[in-house]
Formats: sequence, structure tokens, C-alpha cells
Amino acid sequence: MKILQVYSQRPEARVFFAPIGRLLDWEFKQSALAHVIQDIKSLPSDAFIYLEIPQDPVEQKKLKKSLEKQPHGYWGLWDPEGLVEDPSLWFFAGAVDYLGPRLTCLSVPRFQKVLDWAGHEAEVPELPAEYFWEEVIDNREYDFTLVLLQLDEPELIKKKIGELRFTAFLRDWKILTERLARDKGGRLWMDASTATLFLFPPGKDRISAFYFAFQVLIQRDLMSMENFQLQSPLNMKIAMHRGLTPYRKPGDTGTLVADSVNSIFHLGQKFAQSNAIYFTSTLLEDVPPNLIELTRSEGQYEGRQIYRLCRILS
Amino acid sequence: MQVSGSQANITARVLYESMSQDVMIRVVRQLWPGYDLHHQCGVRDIIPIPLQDAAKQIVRDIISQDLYVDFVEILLKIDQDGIMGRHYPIPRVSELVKLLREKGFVYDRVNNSFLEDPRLRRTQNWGRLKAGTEYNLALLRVDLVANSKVVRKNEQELVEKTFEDIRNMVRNAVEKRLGRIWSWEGDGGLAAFYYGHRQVLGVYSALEILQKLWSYNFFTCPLKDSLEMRLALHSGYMRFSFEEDELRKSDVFRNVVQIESHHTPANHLVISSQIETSLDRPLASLFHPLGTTDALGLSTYALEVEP
Repeated sequence: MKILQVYSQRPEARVFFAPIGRLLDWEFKQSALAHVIQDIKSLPSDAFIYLEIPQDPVEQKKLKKSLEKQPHGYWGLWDPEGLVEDPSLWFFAGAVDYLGPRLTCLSVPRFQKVLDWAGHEAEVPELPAEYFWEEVIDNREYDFTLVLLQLDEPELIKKKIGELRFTAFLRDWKILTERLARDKGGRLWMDASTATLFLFPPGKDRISAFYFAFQVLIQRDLMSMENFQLQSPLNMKIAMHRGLTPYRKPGDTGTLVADSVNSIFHLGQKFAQSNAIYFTSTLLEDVPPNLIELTRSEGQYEGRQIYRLCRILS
Repeated sequence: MQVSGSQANITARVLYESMSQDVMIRVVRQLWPGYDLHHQCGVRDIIPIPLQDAAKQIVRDIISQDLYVDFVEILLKIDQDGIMGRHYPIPRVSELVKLLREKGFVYDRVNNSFLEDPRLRRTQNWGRLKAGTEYNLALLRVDLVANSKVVRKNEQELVEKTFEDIRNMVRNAVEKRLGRIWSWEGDGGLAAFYYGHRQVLGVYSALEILQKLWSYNFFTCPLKDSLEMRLALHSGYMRFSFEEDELRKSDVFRNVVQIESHHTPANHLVISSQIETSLDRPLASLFHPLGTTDALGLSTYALEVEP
């Protein structure tokens, strides 16, 4: 277990640095700043140190000098009161991070970026998807997995149940599928009436997107009857694709231009057949091992090799 | 159930504001045959009892016999359907429902009866069924196929984790549809449905279990081979008991075990004709006759991979 050593006498330090201990399994230690110079030699070389900046400018200078003389690979400053006028001087002295007065806690993604930037060799576990969604930045490109659900023959459903009920059905359908997607770390991104596009975060866990698509497909007859009181099971087309996609908030995607988005709409609406999962070769390596035997090649479409998972019949 | 003084007073007022003494007695006799108001009041038959006193006495007696919730159910039914062909609105009856809700009961409109609020507690009898009384119940039998083979082939820790996942999967599917797990023995168990459309809810639960098992096998199962399950659903009248040995004596229990063990292939759900006839057409259309001569009236559902 790696050590996160904080030199500060503030009781709130434990709360500020708590996510690192809880989620990354680092051991949190706290000592008074006075002990830093004698302690620092005995700490393991991969320990990460945060020092609370002293109030006294003379003490600040002394501390900087001592740290320059006895360099430790990974240390940063915690400045809850905004006492440091020029944080870059501390970086010249060897600091790898500066936590200013506006931060309320040290988040895990931020700490991971610091470790990465500082060249720390700590193994960084995959974070739960909600951390990704908290940190996602508008207009930045991410390697998303996209899942498109396209209701098949929506006009026929509307004719059978009437316009009013159809509107309510579409609303409930989106609520239900979004809940299933969220359970697996995804988000409903684009809502194009009878087609809905879901995003799943980049990272090692690509199975979740397959899990979501599979669940929707396999439970469609139960959902149709129990949740929507339909007289026959819903038919739907499902397409999946992985690719760099610029992120924008749901509802703010009207002017977004992205090849991956065009591709998945074309695949789902023009190529895919009902009640099977179609996906591009971008996802072939992410197919769960137990599903590889059920994967069939479906030829080329728009320059990409397309695969399909076998239908599950009831 | 504890009934507070104010709750009893409101109930008595609901009675004397909405019905005559004759009707009150007729109502209470639905729960307490031969109920004698004069005897309960300790006065001779010829002495008239004021309406308010009669109502209070009836409520006291009902509470003492632990029949209060049943009594409110009857009042709700009268308010809804009338009595002896006559419309009989009961003012403030909704107040009684509200008071029972505060005591942890919710009203099931399908069966016109109260049950414990599942957000507060989940007991084997839904807080209402009485031991020794007959009820129409739907029973779902769940069995993991080749359990001992699974145990032999895999590490104990993995097997325990998997069985716990399966138990949670079954519990979620059953309890969110007002069912109760009556017994669980490591590799399978028995669930019961009484409230709501019990046959339909039993089928929905079983379908969810089978479908989630498929997803589990493909995405989550840590064992060497896929898990298989057999599910059977049957319904009928049976005497409720808190003792499993007593429940086992009922025909419904014996039949559902028989259907599961003798007529249900792996990864199938088999339902009896009693269940099948309670389903509406779309749901029933998911099932096919089992087709064996010794399994007349049984229907089955299964998922299969396309050839």
C-alpha cells in the first residue's frame, strides 16, 4: 500500500485527502510540518507528500530551501489560505503539484493526472464510471463506446396504441433504458425521437456497453408487457461502435459533427436488422469471451467490417 | 397490530356517521359470525344501545380479536361496491387508509387488501396472512441444475460468491413484485406470491430470473461453466403456515416441486394450467405446450440462441 503523507495540523486535512485513501487504497498519514525535514528521509521513495504552506514568509523560504537540498520525488503544496504568491517558484524547487484555496478536496482523477505527470509508477485502478462523467469536458474528444437503440416500425406501434399513449411510451422507454445504461456506467446522450444514442466511457471496461445492449435485447419481451403493457414484444435495432467522439452535454448536440455519430446512426437505421446487436470491427477485441462464439461476420458497410451477435430467441 | 385510541375513535365515528346499527352488525358478522352486540355490551336484548356506543363497542371488539385491518378492508369494499346491492358511500374512509399507512401498511387495489409496506419490512406472511387459514397463492420453485457438479468443479469461494449473486438476483426479481422468498437452500428455493395479480407477477419474476441468468452467464459468472436453472410456477388454495414442514403438506407445494423436478428441462420455466389461464393473451403467447403425455396442461418458456 502506498503512503500519502500530509504535513499539516489542520483537522480538515483528513477530509480533504480522504478520496485518495478510500478509492485508491493509499495509506493516509498526517504529521506536523515541523517534522518534515527529519521525516522525509525515512519515507519510501514512492510516497506522495503534501505540505501545508507555513504562514510565515521566512518559514516558507526555509522550507523551500530544505526541500531543494533534500529532494524527494513526489511532493506538492497545499495552500488552503492562498498564501503563495507565485506557485511556480515551488515547482522550480521540485514540487509536482499545487492545491490552491479554491479546491475543496483532492479528487481521484486530479491526483491520477498528477501521478501521471510526475512519472509516478503507482498502479492506477479503473475508476467507477461516475468519476468520468463528473470530469468530462465539453468539446474534448474521447474514445467512447456508442450504443444506438432504434425502435423498429414505430409507426406500427403508434397505430396500435394511439398517439397519446405512444408519446407516454416513448418517454417511459427512454427513462427505463437510461436507468439500465446508468447501471452499467453509460449515459443517454442523443434523443432522436425513436432512436436513442448512449455513450459509455473510455477505459478498460468496454464490456459494460455490451452488457447494456444485451440486457435491453434479452428483456425486451418482459419490458414490453410489464412496463409498457404492449400487446406484442417490442422490436428494435441495436448498433454499437467505438471511436473518438467530441463530447457535448445532452441536449447541446444539435450542431455536433462527428464521423462516429454518423456511422452509428447509419449502421443502426440502414443496415442493422431487428432484434440483434450489430457492431463495427472497432469493438471486436472488446467482445466478452463468452460471446465470441456467438459472433457472426456480416460483411462490410461504409468501409467498416460489421459483426453481429446471434439472436436470442424465446 | 396496535391500534391507538384516536384511531379507534375515528373508526367508530366513520361507522356511526355512515350506517345504521343493523348494518354495522351485518358488517362485523362478515368477520365474526354470530356477533352479539348486546352480549358484548353486557346488556339485555330489549335495551336499546345508542348508535355511538354500538360503534365504539364494535371497534373495541374488533381490535381485541386482532381483526382491525380486516375490518377496514371490509369498509373499503362497502364504500366501493355497496352492500346487498345498495350503494353505501362511507365518508372519511380514506382517513382510515391514511392511518394504516402511517402504521406501515399499503393497500393492494387488485385484491382489496392491505399488506405490510415493503419499504419498511418484508415478512413471510406480508404482515397479514394467518397461520391455518387457506389462501390462493402462486408458488415459484427455483432450482440450480447440477449443483453438486458446480461445487466439485470450482473453488469454494467462487461458488459461494456465485450462489450469493443468484440468490440476490432471485430475491430482487421476486420482492420487487410483492413476492416473498419462503425458503432458500443454497442451490434453489421457493417463492410465494399473494398480492397483486399473483400469477402474472410470478411469471414476470420467473422471466426476469431466466433472462438475467443468461446475461449473468455471458458477462459476470466466474465459474468454469454456465449456470443452469429450472423454474416452475403453480397456484392454488393452500393453508398458510410459518413452518415449512406444514407448507410441504399442501397439494400446491407438492405439485410445484413435482413440475420442477419431473417436467422442467434446464433453463426453462414451466407453468401449470392454473397459471396459464390467468395470463392475458400477449403474455400467454410466450409459452408453448410442453407436449409430453404425462405433463398435460403444462406450458413452457425458454431462451435459445438462433441456430
